[in-house]
Amino acid sequence: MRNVKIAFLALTAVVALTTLFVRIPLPSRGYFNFGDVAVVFSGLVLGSLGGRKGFIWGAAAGGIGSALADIMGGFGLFAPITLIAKGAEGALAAWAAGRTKMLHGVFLALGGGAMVAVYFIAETLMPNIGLQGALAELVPNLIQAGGGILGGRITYAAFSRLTGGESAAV
Amino acid sequence: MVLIKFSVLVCMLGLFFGCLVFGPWYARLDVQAAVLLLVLLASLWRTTARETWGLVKFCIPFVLTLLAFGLLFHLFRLLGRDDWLRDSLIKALVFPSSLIFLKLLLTFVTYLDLLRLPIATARRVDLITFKAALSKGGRIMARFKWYLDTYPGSVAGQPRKGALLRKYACLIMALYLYLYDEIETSRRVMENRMRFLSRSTDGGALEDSHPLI
Repeated sequence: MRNVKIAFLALTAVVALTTLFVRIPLPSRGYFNFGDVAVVFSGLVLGSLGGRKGFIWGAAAGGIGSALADIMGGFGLFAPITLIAKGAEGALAAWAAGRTKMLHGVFLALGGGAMVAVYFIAETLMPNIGLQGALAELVPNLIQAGGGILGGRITYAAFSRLTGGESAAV
Repeated sequence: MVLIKFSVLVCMLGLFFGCLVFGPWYARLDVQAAVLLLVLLASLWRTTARETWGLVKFCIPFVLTLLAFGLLFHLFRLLGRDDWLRDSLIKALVFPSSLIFLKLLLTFVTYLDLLRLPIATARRVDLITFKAALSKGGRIMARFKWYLDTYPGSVAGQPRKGALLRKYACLIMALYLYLYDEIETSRRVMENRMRFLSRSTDGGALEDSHPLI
């Protein structure tokens, strides 16, 4: 599991597939999409494998995988925003890999915050969505970001235990 | 040919967004309503009624929230503006039409088109392995989900949110480990094949009988 390019291709596919097919309905509105869990997990794995360039791999896996899921799922309109938002989340998750406990949490929180902020700003600027739409999406995106960080950390911890220190930060 | 096709699609996209979303016709309610109708008819013609209805169903809750927020902003005269309701009505027409229009354009792009693009062989190998990983992953995911559902903790009683999160964490991990192995193996096979082909081509044989793609 040491080849970063193969890990990148596999994780990009994992992000796309989980975004498309793994959804938990929320009582309030819509569904919780497991893609964010996969984005954070990908960032952490690629951050530990890719060394200094880990954040680039993390950004690419999160951004491309999620944007691809948008295109395949019929929501191509959001693909450019998703590429940037999830790319930022993946990059910051990769930066979080191998850091001390506090910095690790700070980077993950920044990643989630960046994702929510990018969606909010981009949707506000889009004439067909605007401030009305961006505000409506704010709470679901916050839930998504929080769930993604929690789930991503749980998945990465389990993965670290399973692979027994095979990758750098595991 | 592929480049011409992509150029036409990009031009159509630019024209649509340039005129109707960012351009002069954005504020024209009658034009936007007519465009939405046209896009819906085109979607019915190009895809199926079920798919088109699925897209409309996706838009309805968002459009309703847009209108609700618009009404709220209008009542509070947010930022001193009193055109929030009209603005929301325009957005309620433009959002579904732009979403469905883009979806329609994307139906014209196939995987083979991407392979025919003038790109380096290494990138082409990446595209092939990635596509293979996606289709294999899609198939195996349903099986993994089924295996996880048979786990005693999930079978006994309704799974709680925590158990659900653990279950899907396992799914992501299993999928990653599986796909990593699959991609590693298929890349090795492809590299061997390429090496064999280049040796054969040097010798002047097998070039056409063993095409890589």
